[in-house]
Amino acid sequence: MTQPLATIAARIMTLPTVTFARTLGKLDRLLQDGEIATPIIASVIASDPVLTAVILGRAAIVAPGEVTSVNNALVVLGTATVHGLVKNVRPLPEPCQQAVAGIWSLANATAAMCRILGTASPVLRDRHMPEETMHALGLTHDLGSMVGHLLFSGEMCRANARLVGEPRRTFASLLQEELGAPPALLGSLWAHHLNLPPLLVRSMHHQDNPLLAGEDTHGPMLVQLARNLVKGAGFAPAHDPYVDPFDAAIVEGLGLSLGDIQHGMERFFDEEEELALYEGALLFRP
Amino acid sequence: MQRVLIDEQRILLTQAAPGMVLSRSVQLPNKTVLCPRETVLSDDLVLRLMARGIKRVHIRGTPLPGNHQLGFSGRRERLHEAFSRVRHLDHLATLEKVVEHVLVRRA
Repeated sequence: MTQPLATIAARIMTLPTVTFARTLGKLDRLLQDGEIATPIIASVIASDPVLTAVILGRAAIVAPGEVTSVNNALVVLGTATVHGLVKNVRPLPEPCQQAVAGIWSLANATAAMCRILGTASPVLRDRHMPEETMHALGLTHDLGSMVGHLLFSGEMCRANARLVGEPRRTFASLLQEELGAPPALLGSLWAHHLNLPPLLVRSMHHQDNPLLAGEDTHGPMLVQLARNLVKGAGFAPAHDPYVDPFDAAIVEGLGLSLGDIQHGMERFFDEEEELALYEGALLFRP
Repeated sequence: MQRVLIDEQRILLTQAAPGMVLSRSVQLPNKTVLCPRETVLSDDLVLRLMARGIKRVHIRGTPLPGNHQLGFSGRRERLHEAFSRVRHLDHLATLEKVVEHVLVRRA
């Protein structure tokens, strides 16, 4: 049975910010040290979708323009504020860790692919979209799946079970039927609550159909292409293992040729060895 | 890219954890050795290496599971499975071939 959207939104507002205890401990030590360079702290934050969202959202409150890079957010907020924000994030509950590690792995792979394809796209080059912004688009795009696992695990399980027997359906459409909202909507509701910049919220909201994003379709198009390519390359999360159908106009809209995509895949596989270890690192216990 | 030995993993320093053992020495670009191989990593050591700008280290064994452990045929099988529901669309069938071509070339 689906839930009314207002009920879903109200539950999302109560969602605590959580991530892997290992990441929180590492950041706590880095921020306490006082002598660690900001880019090192930023690199740890920029591999975690929740921490990135929390910090970009807080920076958006105090900065005059859109802050879509963790490095800029650290400059705007200062490391003491960031340390306070990190201390308010709670460790992820044990039962969710395996599923969320898979989602984080997809997020990091999508972020890398967004950066690679984005720099190859003449359309995005003309728009002067910074690499860090492309990274943030890919990293945060699937926060909705984490919201689903934390708040609506029963509906997520039912949608996943139906996916096996209904080959013409996508996971998003099945979750829409089971819960009343697909992951894209769950993520964008939470992103609104966290005060994320509109560019990131739009990319989350329209990830299933970027051509409906109005005037600014390029961010969502980049995310959709990157997400599906990395799913095909082996970074699909367990609950949604299939490449989703998308419009041929997405590739054309980004001005990418098949050669660009092939070259991008080569670059991605060069980086992939380390990305592939990301999920294992989160769950590593010595 | 430097070829990785079978009994070691190259990982980002942000993925390193206490207890992991270095399989190669950690050096600055000017070849100054910061840590010899067989050093056991600790939190403090990881932070100090980060502060020196080190991004990647080689560690002994394969303590972190990941996609790299799948062989070529396993990866190709997974690729076909992932695209199985969209292959009827010409442009997505073409994209599958592009990814497969890259996989084959690198195998």
